[in-house]
Amino acid sequence: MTGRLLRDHLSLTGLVIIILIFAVTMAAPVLAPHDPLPVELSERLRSADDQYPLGTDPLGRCLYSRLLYGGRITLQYSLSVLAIILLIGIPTGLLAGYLGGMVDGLLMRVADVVLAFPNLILALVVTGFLGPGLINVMIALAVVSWVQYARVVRGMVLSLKQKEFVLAARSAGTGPLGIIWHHLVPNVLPPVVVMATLNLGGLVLSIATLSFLGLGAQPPVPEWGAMINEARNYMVSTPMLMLLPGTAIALTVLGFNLLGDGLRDVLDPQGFTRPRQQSAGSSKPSPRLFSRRGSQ
Amino acid sequence: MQVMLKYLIRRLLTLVPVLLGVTFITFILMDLAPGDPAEILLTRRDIEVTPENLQLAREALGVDGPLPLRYANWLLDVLQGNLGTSFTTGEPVSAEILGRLPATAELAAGGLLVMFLLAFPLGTVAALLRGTVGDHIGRLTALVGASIPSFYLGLLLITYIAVPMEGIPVMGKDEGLISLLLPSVTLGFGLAATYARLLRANLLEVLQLDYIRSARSRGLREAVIIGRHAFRNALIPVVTLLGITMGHLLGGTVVVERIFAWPGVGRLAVEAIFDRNYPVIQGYVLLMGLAFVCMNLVIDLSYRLLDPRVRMEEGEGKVS
Repeated sequence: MTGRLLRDHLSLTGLVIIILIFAVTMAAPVLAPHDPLPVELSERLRSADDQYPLGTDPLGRCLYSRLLYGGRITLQYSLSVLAIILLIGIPTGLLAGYLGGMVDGLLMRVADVVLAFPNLILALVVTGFLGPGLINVMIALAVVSWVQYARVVRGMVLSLKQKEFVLAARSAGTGPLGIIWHHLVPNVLPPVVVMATLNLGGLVLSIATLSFLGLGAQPPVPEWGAMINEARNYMVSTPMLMLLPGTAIALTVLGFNLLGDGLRDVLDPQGFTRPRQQSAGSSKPSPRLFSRRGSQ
Repeated sequence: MQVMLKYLIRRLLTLVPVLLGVTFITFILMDLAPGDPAEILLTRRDIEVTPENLQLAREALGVDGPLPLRYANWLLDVLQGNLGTSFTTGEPVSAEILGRLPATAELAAGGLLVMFLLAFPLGTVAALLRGTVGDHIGRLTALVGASIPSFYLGLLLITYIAVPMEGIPVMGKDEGLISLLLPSVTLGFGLAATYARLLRANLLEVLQLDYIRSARSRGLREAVIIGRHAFRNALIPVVTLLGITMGHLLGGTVVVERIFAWPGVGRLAVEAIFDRNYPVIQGYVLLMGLAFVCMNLVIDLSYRLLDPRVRMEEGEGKVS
C-alpha cells in the first residue's frame, strides 16, 4: 500500500508539502524572528533585509513572523474543526446505519435539510448570527460539515451489515457494540481518512475565506485569509503582502488535495468519497469489494 | 411520460419536509442571535426602550409567544412574501433582496459560462491525451486551479491584469458587460478546474463502452467518434455534476461580490452581517436555500429527460 502511494509522484509531492508546512508553522515560536502582534509604525512597509527576512506590513509588523504564526492558526483551527466533525459525524453515521428505523430516518431528514444549503453560505450565515470570530467560524463549519461524514459512513454501514462476516459475528453472539467496533469501524475508516484529507483543504479554504470577509480571525491576529484582506489597499504598491499568504493558502490546499487524491486510489477503491452523482444508480456502492478486509 | 410525472410528484413531495426544515433553520437562526431583536429594533429607530414599546415591538416582529406558534406565524408571513423589515433602512427585506437579485444572477450566469468555456476543451483534451504528459499536466493544473482561493485569484486578476491594462473595470457593474468580465473569470475558474476533471472521467468511461469500440472497428475517425458518439453520452452525467458545482457557485458569489463591489445579494448579506441586520441575513439564507433546492430539482429532472436509461430504472420502482 505504501509502495503504491510512494510510486505516485503527485501524492508524494502533496505529502512533502504538507509535512513542510506543518513543520514550519508549528515551529513558528522558534523560527519567527519577531512577535507577530505589536505595531511598530516607524518600521512600516520596510523591504526585506537581515532584520526582517520578508519586510514588514503597513503596521510595521514582521511579515515573515506573521506568515508563520498565521499558518499555525489556519492549520490549528482546520484540524480542530475536522476533529469535531469526525467525532460527531462518524458515531452518528454508524448508529444510524446500524440501528436503522427512527434514528436513521431522523438523521436523513436532518442531513437533507443541512445539505439543502450551499455549505459556505450556511457557514457564513451561522457565523453572522453568532458574531465574527475564529471560534464561531469553527462552530459554523462544524455545523455544516458533519452531515457529509454521517451520510457516507451510514451508506457504508448499510452495505456492510448485510455481509456474511457481520452476519456470522452476529450469529456468534457478538453484541451491537462489538460488531460496530470490531467489524464496522475498521472497514469504515479508510474512506473516511480520504474524505478527511480532502476535506482539510476545503476547511483551510473556508477558514481563510471567512477571515478574508472579516468574519473569522479579528485583527491583530495573523491568519492567512485575514492578512490578504489587510493587504488589499497595498496590493499594487506592495504586492508581496498579498502574494505570500495567498500562495501559502494555495500551497496548503494543493498539498491536501494531492495527498487526498492519491490516498483515494489506495484506501477507497470503491469510490465512496467521489463526488456524488445525485441519485443515479452508478454511485451505488459495490458490495463485493469489502470481503477482502471483512474475512479476516 | 407517466413515469416522469410520477417521479416529479414524488420529488415534489419529498421536498415538503426539506423546505419546512430549510425555513425552520432560517427561523431558528434568529433565536441564536445575541440580544433581543425587539430592543435592537427600538434602538435602531431611536425609539425609547420602555416595557410597553418593547412589547409592541415584539408583537410587530412576531417574537412573542411559544416557539411553534412563532414559527407558524413567521411561516405564514413568509408565504405572503413578508420577510420583515431591514433594521438599517426600514425597507421590506423582500424588496431589498429582490432588487439585488438580478446582479447576482448575472454574475452566476457569467461564472457558469466561463466554467463551461474552460472546462469543456480542457476536459476533452485531457481525456484524449490520457496517460500522457499532457494529461498529467492537465491533472496538476486542475488541482492547482481548485486550490487557489477565489478571493486571492480575484485580487491577482485586479493587480496583474486590470491595473496594467487600465480599460477593465474592477468596481461595480456600471460599465455594462465588460464589468462582468473579471468577476465571472474569478468565479468560474475554480469551478472549471473541478468540472474539467469530472468531464474527463466521464468521457473516459464512455470511451470504453462497446458501441465506441464498434465505431472504432468500423474505421471511423477518432474525431468523429469523440464528437458524434462519445461526447453526447458523456454530456448526460455532466448535467448531474452541475449539482455538485452549484453550491460552490452560489457560495462563490458572496466572495466575488465583495471583492469587485458587485451590487448583488451576497454583498448585501455580508453588509447585513456586519450591521447585525438579522432580518436581511435571514431573508438571504432562505433565498439561497430555496434557490439551491430548486436548482438541484431542475438538474435532477433534466437528467431524467436526457437519459432514457434512468427513466427505465425509475419505472421499475428502484430508488437509490
